[in-house]
Amino acid sequence: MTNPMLQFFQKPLCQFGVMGWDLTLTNGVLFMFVSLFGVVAFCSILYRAQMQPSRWQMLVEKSFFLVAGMIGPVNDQLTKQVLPFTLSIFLIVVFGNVVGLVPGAFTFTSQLIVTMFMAIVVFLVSIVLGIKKRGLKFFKQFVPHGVSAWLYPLIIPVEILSFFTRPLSLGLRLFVNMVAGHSILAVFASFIAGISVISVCVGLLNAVLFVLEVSIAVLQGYVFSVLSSLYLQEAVKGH
Amino acid sequence: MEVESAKLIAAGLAVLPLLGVGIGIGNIFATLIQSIARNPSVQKNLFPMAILGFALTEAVGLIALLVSFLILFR
Repeated sequence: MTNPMLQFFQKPLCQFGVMGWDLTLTNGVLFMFVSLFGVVAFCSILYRAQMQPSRWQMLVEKSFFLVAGMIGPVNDQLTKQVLPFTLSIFLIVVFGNVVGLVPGAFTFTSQLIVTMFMAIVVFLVSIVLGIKKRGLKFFKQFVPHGVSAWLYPLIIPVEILSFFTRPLSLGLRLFVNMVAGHSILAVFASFIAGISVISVCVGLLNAVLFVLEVSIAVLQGYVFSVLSSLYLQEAVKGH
Repeated sequence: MEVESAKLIAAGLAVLPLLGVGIGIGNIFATLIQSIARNPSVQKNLFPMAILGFALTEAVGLIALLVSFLILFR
């Protein structure tokens, strides 16, 4: 059986550097650019918007209102401020996951550095936005309501700890989902050997798993953006 | 014990958390069905929540699976 973890290693396609900066084009970077262009092409459908929308235009509008509804009412001031950020996170994660499912393509969301970077950016944005909007009241969220004062030394460290483990769980979840899903597909594909009844059954099972993986790819983008908009909302408005 | 056989046993043990994940996912959807049966008008609000809970619970199982894969194939 071949090693199913081999598909997650980055291979350099062409090596070059500028002034000591390593700008090697690996396959991860290549597919990051591919999904970035996918997002831009997907959003630029709205430049040709019509009164009677085409199917693609309806898809763009649906995803817009889906992400807007996660934060709050669409014409809210916070929604207008935060929507470009969460919408681009949603689209880049979904496109990265879906593009990675094409056979032979590389999933850049299966790299821990990518997902953790996105999660940490969400975390820092939520802190900066919260302090900017609410000032020192931002730190009141570590003190829950209705707790008697002698429990504070116990509650406040726990709250602070759970606040700082957020980016960890956010980044790790996406990474683990992508790695485990692709490994399962690879392991099941390696069970196919020769032409026999069992091989055909395993192949059909693999096709069903592939459909499941496509749905998980979209679902994980949804979960990532739901949680990040939840964190942003909580930082700005409090519990 | 041989290292290879110990690896196989450890990989099997590492997916034991799937027990809890199965109970959790069953719990989520059982509660979803119950609440929709009691009040069908809340289905639109509850379904995204249930999917979110399902995805969060499933991630725990996938972490266990990933550990098992790491033991097997690293």
